Amino acid sequence: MPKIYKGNIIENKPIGGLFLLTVSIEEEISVNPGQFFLIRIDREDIVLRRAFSIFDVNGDRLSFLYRVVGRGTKWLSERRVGYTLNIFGPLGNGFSLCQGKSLLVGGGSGMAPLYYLGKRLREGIKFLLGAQTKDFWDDDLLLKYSNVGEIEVITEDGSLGKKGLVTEYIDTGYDRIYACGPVEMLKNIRVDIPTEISLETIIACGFGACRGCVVETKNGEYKRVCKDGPVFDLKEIF
Amino acid sequence: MGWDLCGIELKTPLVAASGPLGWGEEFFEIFSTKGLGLFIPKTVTFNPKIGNPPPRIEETIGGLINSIGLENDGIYKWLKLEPLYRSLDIPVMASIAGSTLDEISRLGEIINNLDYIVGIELNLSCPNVKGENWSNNPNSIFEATESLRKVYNKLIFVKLAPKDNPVLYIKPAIDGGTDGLTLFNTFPASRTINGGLSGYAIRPIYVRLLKEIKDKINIPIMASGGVFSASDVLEYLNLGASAVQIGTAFFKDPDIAEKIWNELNVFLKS
Repeated sequence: MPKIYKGNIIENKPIGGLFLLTVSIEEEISVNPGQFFLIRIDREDIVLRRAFSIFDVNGDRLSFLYRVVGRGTKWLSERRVGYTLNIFGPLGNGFSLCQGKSLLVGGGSGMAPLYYLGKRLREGIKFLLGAQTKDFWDDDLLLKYSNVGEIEVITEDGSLGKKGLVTEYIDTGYDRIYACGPVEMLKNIRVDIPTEISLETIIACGFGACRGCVVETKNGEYKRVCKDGPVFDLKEIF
Repeated sequence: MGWDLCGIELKTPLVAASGPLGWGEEFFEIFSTKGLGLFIPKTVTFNPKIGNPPPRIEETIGGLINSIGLENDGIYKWLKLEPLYRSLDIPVMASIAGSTLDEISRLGEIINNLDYIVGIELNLSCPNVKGENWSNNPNSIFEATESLRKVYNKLIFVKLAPKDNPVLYIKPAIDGGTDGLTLFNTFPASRTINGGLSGYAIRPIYVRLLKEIKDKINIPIMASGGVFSASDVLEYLNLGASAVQIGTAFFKDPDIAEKIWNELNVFLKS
């Protein structure tokens, strides 16, 4: 059951083109990979919380890997160690944890939820991570992922790993694909393997009540990203 | 100390506004009614409505634009919420909207039989549904209110849109037989989506409108618009509101009602 926690900042530092935030909530809780938390932005001019999928869980510590995209994430990136954040979660459904060989495809900051997913799947996993350029990652970040599973990186400019888009490098030797990233990337996953995708959108209530975050499914229904998702079967959406 | 809303005793003057918390199933699974005096579920219509296509929400500086489009499963599925509404330790007021006078009467007739619903908030002002914004026309407000009054014996609150010269729109609701007014619904706005603006940004406008009617209208009012703190609640209570609705602030703090109520108690005791 989701709850409101006081999240005392342990670290909040740039890591490549992203930020890594770790908070202590002084309680050990169970979080499914792919679930998310809503962090309150303590400014009067910002009414919505910001949604972050879980990057890692260690005892009473929750970590989030995020990109600064606007006023809310900029404010967050300026919070220092010791600041207490108001954190609500865990929310949403999360990925299913299936046996077998899995390919974890992350585009840009969409790599965030895949780390904890990889840790929980433990075996038979490969990360396929894409970014525009090598500066998006730093060595520490890539090392973290490679400690969990095999890793292949793709950059659009070819500055690290193979050149191009991650979707050009998805092969079929897997039982399942888990993917998170821009909509264009998710749309272009065209292999016939069961694929779970995690969607990103603006979230208001976070628990399925307000109907603000709906996504249109292929058969014309509206599903709530925050409650029915954020993880969906690829075929249900695209 | 109890708070009176047209004869209904409320534990607090804080009301969960219709919309943000949906019909309550998800919210009350996680949170209690602490701090709340009244719950108004999201608007129900006679027939199901799929709502507007996404994107439905967009943030502004100090505000939020929404365009949900009255998504709901229709009155017959809504009736299945009875066990939840009976289980709450606060009263529940239904929120209804209709696209015709006939729909409004039919909804009123059905809800008139429900002993677990203390009243109806008649939503005449959803800014996000084409052709159903009764609030723009004083005569439509009169007709809609009168249609409901004819079939509904309990409390009616008409929820109006924020407009210049508010008395012009309030008068016909009173003439139509309403017991009270919810002032006001969200403010029509646009950024990349068209919708209703809520949040801090609208409060000064709504305070101004309430000041305009303060000495001209004598009817119970539930004030609404940008309530995030106890001082916001006091501002509306001091302008004559009987109760104050909280909406968008639930997104910032799902436990906002409890927080405000604790804060308010400090003010009220001093």
